[in-house]
Amino acid sequence: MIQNLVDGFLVGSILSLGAIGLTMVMHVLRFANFSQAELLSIGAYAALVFDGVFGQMLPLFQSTLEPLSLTGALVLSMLASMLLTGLSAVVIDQLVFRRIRDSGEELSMVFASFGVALIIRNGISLLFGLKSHLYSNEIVFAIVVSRDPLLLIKPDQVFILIAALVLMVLLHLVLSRTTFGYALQAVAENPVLAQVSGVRLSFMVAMIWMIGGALAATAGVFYGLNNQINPVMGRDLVLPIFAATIVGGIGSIYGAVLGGFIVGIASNLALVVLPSGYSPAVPFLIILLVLIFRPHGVLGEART
Amino acid sequence: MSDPVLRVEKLVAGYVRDLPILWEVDLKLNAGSMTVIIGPNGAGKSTLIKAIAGIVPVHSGLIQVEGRSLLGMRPDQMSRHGLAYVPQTDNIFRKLTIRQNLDLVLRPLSLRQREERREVLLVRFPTLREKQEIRAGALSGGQRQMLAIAMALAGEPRILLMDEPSAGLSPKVAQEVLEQAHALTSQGVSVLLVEQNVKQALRFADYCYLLADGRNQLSGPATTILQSPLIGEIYLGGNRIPEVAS
Amino acid sequence: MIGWLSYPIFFATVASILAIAVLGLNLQWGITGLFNGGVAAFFGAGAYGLLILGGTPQPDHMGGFEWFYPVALLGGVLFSGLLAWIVGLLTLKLRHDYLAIATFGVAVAFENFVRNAEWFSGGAKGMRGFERPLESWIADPFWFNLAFLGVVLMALMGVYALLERLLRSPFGRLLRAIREDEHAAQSLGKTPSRVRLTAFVTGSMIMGLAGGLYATFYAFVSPQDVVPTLTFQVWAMLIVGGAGNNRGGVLGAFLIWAAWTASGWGLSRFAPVELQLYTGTLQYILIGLIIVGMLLWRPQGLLPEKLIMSQ
Repeated sequence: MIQNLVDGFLVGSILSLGAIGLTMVMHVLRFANFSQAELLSIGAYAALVFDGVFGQMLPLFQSTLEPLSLTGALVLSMLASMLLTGLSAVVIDQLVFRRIRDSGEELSMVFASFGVALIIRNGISLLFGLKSHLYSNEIVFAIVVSRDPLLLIKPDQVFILIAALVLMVLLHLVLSRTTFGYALQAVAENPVLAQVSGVRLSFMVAMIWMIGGALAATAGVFYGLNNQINPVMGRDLVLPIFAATIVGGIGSIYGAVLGGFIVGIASNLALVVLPSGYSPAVPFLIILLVLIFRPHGVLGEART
Repeated sequence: MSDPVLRVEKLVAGYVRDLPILWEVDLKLNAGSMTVIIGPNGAGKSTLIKAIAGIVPVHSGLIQVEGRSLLGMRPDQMSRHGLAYVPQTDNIFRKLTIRQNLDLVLRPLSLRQREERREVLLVRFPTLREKQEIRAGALSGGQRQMLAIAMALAGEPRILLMDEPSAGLSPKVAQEVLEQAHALTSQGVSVLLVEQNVKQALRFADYCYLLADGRNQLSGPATTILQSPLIGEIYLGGNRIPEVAS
Repeated sequence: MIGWLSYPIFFATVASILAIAVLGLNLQWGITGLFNGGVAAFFGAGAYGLLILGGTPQPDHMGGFEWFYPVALLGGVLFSGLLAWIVGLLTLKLRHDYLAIATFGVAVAFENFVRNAEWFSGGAKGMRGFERPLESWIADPFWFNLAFLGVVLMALMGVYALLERLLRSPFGRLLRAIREDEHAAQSLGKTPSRVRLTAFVTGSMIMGLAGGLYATFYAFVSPQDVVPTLTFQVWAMLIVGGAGNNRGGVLGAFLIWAAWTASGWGLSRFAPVELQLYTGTLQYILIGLIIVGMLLWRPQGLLPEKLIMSQ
């Protein structure tokens, strides 16, 4: 069971990173973005491409950073992918969602996001094929931390967990110590007052997509490192990431982080009692429980 | 009489295109004066202020500050024209501390200028200084109002728009707020405010506009309006200037 | 002569069944403004419900109660209604996208459940053991299929007529009022969430009816029939035809189903061998483009909602 707990923590960190962007979009733009999870796919595949390119261009970076399977090139690729994915999110908003928003049909944005998700997911399938990829073909052995109870941890997983926490701490610092962070929180709390206070709404909306996309990219890369990269990554992560935002409370970044870990851990602990075939349904059960007992989530507030 | 620093002419405005709330409203704010807008509920007083602040869409008419038109400006651009606006409710960010609220409004400035301006504001509002690191949501109603005004003053505005600044405050605190607003006029700030608290507001104001049903009804020096018997009638809905047949 | 007629009959039957589902969705989205992200689940509940209640006993899973066909069909419909009622009760008082997420989740959970719970649904290999009503009487498959098409068309027209009546009734006016301005409707003393729940459950039951008819037609249902693709197809049908508009919904159903089958056929016939694997992929991109394209350029659909003159 402790293995499940540790695995849950790891999955949770990935979900948290994906949920941060989603909770901001859901709260500020008021729509459930079913294509947010596809940003993880874009991030993972973009990093794959960059990895190939950087690996060729900078042979020095091809060597792995022992004991991880990570190469310097992959780290650079992740950074490049963060930028690219963030920009993609902004572009998608400009091309599709903003136009629908401006036409007054707010409710249609959810609907459109389904369409966008289909296009991205299957576009990736066309480009990269239906099979899965890996960042590295090296066989990495897990470290046996304890034999009874059995606990195996791959060094990559430690890296992922630490990197995810570092990113979250950085985000926290931005939110609590920079005027940009105040502006972000202001827009989330009261967009009209934020504008009155001098904040340019359209810029902040673009930033929300940018940050959400960048964090989703890291989540995608981490997922690819921990499992594998495949075109249906996004589809498999949609519901858990939504569950994370609902558990934490829509609109709360800290809630999204908390929610991610709760969903990750709960989903993995559920495997102790449920056959593994049922694990895709667990996030839904979590959502049901939250809706019954605490619909606004742990850190959420009702917002009209 | 100097040129008005803010001029509104034949303003038609409202949230929905075909349903204007304001109908051909005129208003002038003279430099260094404190002008108050009064009227019964639903008169459109808040809407008028919000239209000037750029929050409510304008359908037709004129809004000018020192000769320059404000139409089409976004609310975040208003400070460039020396305009600041204090909403009636939800006028501070509850999740941010007092200091963070102020820093947010002071964002465009350099770090040093920000510190200087913040210092000036905290000197003016000592209560805020001692509670700097407290979340605005934990403050009392009066303290929140103080913060809201401080935030509006942070940009050193030439025109201050306030929507019922004394709402929800005890009479003593309400009077302090109106006194402070009036004191600003001697520092070169022109103040336009909406008030339900007619008697108190008219004691401090120079000029007054009475609105009902989205239209001008009366206007004049505050002392004159205060003594006019028409006020009671207009408030109670009896005597309204008839709508012009369109 | 009979040979080539078989395919159009087949096509019309499936398109009509899907049209019924689109009408149910129209009630939810077009008229009441509710986003149902899990159409497949309510469709599937009707299908599985029918086969469990009306099927013959099978060794490896439950069911086989062999109920009288119309009753079994009703059972499936009620199963959908129950599912919708639970989801709606929990989410309709909250902001609108909770419903979207919850219905999406229901669909994921439903598919997952029927795929894994062999004792209930036969698992991944699906559920058989259903004798189509009157099949023993009409032995010839061609005439049987034609008769069944007739039944489906009657069901379609019945649902259509019912919904048109509903639109013009006070209840219909209330639904549209709530969609346009909830606060105004509330001031009239109606509880919006209660009314929306009724609309949502009714729409879902209509989808359940479609599912039941679908299962009757094939005498078989499997988890593959309740995948998200179905939800996207029904949505595309509604958005193309015209949300809020029953005739548009039916038109959209036939158009999209034609596009889907034509593209599938065209790709398998003319596409190079390497691309064959991607037939599904290309079709999904097509659906995605249709959805996004229509929303951007003609959100009202091909047949826009007419102003209803209420009586």
